[in-house]
Amino acid sequence: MSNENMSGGGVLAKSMAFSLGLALLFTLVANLLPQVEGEAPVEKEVDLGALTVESYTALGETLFSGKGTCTLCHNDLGRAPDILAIDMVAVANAHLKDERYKGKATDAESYLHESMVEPSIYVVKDYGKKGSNDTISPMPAVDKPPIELSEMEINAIIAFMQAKDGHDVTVPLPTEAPAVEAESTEPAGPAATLEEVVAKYSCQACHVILGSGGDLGPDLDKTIGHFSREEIHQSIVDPDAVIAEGFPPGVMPRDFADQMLVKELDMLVDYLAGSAQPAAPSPADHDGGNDSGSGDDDGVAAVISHFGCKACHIMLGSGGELGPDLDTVGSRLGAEEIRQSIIDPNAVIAKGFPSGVMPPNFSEQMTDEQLESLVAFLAEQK
Amino acid sequence: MKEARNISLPALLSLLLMAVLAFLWSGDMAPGQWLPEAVASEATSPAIEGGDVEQALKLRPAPKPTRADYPDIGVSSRAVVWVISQMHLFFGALVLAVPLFVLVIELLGLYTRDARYDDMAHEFMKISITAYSITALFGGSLALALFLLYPDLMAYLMQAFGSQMLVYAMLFFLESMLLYIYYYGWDALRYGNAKWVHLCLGLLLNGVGATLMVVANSWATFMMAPSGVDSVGAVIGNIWEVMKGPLWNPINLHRFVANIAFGGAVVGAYAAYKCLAARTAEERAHYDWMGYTSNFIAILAFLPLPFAGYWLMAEIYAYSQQMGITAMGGILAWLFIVQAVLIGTILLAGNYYLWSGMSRTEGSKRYQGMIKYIAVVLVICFLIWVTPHTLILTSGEIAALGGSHHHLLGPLGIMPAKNIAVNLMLIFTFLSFQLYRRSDKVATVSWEKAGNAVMVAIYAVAVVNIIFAGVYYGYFTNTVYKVGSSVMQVVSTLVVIISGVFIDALMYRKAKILPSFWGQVSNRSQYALFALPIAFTWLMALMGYVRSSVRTHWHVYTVMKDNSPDNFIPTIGYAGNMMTIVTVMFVIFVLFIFWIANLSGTKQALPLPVVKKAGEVA
Repeated sequence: MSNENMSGGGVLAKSMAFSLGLALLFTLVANLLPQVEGEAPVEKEVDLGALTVESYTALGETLFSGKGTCTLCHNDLGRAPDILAIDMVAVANAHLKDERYKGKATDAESYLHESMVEPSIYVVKDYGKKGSNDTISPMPAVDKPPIELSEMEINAIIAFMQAKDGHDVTVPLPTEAPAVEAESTEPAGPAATLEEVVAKYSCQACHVILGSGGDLGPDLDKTIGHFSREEIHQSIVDPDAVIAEGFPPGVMPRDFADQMLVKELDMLVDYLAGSAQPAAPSPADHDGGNDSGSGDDDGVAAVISHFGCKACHIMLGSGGELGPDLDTVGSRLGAEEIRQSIIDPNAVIAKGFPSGVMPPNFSEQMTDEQLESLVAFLAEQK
Repeated sequence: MKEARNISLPALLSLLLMAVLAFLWSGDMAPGQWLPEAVASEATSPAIEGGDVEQALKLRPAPKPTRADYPDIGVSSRAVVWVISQMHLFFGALVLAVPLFVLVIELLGLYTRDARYDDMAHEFMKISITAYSITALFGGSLALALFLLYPDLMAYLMQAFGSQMLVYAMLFFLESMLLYIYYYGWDALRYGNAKWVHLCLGLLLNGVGATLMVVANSWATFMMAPSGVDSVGAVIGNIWEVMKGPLWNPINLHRFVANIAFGGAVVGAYAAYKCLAARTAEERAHYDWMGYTSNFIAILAFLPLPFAGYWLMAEIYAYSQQMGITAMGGILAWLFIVQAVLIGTILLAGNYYLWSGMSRTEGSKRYQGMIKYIAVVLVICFLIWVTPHTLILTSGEIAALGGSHHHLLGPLGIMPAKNIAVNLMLIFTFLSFQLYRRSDKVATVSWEKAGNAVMVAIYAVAVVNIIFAGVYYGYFTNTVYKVGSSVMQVVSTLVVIISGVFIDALMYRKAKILPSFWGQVSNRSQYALFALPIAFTWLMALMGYVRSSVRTHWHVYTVMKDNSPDNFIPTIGYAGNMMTIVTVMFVIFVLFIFWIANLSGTKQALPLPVVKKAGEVA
């Protein structure tokens, strides 16, 4: 072992080589471990009209381990009940009979729903937050951020939990109506006047405002000037934060903050705060009203919509995952292969996907024109 | 002349940063002028037109940028911000940490009246002063990159933190002034009452530095666990409510302690470099001593770091169990295997340096027999720590293994086993440290044997307690209690460390001191001082990445989604490559700092007069 000192250059070279070698060793360790990417949840547009009980259940299973992030805790490590290993319908019925249960559910379906959106209503013994004596659940409400499951998605998970142990699926299959509603959440354009805001968001369905309306919610004309701007703002964006006496909570939609433009919200707040009168539209407000465009309403989009392709495939940025993602299909397949996979979908099955799922009769239903436009469109998706 | 040049660059950088921050702050006053597209369309509300700007801004929900709202610069924006922010954090940590222990060393020098401490503290500051300019440079670049590449996010953060910006800029300016006065006034304020003035300046410098750090931490913790905002991100609280989120103080403590360990390791590498390149025995002895002191600081600060980490993780779990599991049991869990390798490297290198350092004194022979046992425990614990729990296997491998987990190694992969390993490693590292400290001393107190017996008993009880708590709570109770058992283990480790320091302080108060020969260490031991900063740097990059990634696809968790093309968690390999890139970049910049520090002490020799050759006429 030599204690002889080196020259400055020698020390520099050796220390650099040593440091680099060590850093590379750590890099090697990182590269030897399993390489998994954590993708952000993709908002899928489900063709509700094409759903069957089986595909709805399958969607629930996908959501259970995907967007719902249920498996983070509900696994065999004991942090939360292992849902995959227990009969959730039987468990739900047992919990409903438990004297600790104080919720409003009456059957397994409503219990499962309640346990997802209000997890602290009934906390399974030993699974409560530390120090809460099983009164507070560590589980987040799945309909709120960061999970944000829609009602349709929550029901899909309930369907999965019912079906996995052989029980009947009691949740209703979603109909076309909510899908239309979901699409219509994209506002056509900003409302220019208070009257337009009130009409656009159907305030009068529940409240009296601008002289008329329903009585499900408080009469807003009578409250003008009684509350601060902040209080009014909060009651619109977070309606359940404070509930007016004599009115039930949970009735007013909670997504107005997502839908309303600030300009619209301010008009409403101004009016209710008593600081503004209903105003006439200004010419400037009409400018740009059509800038969002009407979307892809061309022939191919109509074909995709008509044949429900998005129920199983991601196309134009959204869709299901039962089949391969078609937004990049042009980089994998040529036009001929794409045509074959539409006409005879079981001839070649993409790796990782089951056979026999895609209907084999599209060629009988489509016109030649529709088929060719779809093939040409998909071949360009690279 | 030279000093004037040294000041001008950082001052310019400070002014530049001030200008950027002032611009951003003024932006808050004129939202329609600079807000990005995703929010600008909403910025012309009647309230704003009517002049009610502040209220309209406050009540605006968090923006919802689409992918098109993120500028495409041809390379990954995340990678660009990743590199710049990491460099800024490395140098920021160094600049905040060094004055902290420099102040303690300076105070020690005053107390012991040993001028070597004062000189060493001054030399440490020489490194910090150059690092400060680089910190400012990367800070300005980071602000620029963030505003260019993530305009909506920054618009939102300005909405939440706008009122804090001017304070931050002023603190930064104050920090610059105090730093330069503290460093350049060192010799002018060296003795008598002037020394106390200098120490007060150091205290102020550290106070302002720590405040800067906690202010900046609040931005990061707001993104992880937002407070002072409603469910859609509208700011409803004042700046204090926005800052004091549930993770703010755990991060403050963790970063404060980690910075000291990191700073100690970096200046230790400087000392090792100088020690290896020393031209005289005196110089080698000085830098050997400096390296030892740096290592002492680094390891001492490192020992309580896991406990600060426990607190942080416990608070993360309390805030959001989902976030906690994403870090510890989800996709990021594998990164903790890399963490184990890094901390194992730090502890093994730290121990090796201590064992090598025992050769400085004859008295160490009493303890050298124990080294091999300590080494065996450390290696076994290290191997347990790096044992993975879940393996990604083919069906054939699962069949051969008889299940998804190995029947022997599987149980070693879970946290209780790892907690036992970590705590034992910390305890045995402290034992190495204690033996090293005792090497050059012979106790003279009458109760030496009793004191040693108590010490041995404390070690034995702690080790048994750590193993028992880990095994019982880890394998025979519900998962919920597994985390709780770690508290018992941590307390056991802390009891050993605190009682060890206390007993030794009393037992060796009037001890006979054996001669130590500074510089009498192997060259190889100095490479342990290079291993420490490399592992620390990589570890900081890794843990910063984990902390940031637990937000998954959210810029600001639960209120503002990340819709950028990089809104996914990359593979461990990719992240590891990024960490190596930033570590190597940091090493290169640190070498530059060392070179600059050397250059300032280098004096060109006076040119010799031309020697006349025989017969030559002048």
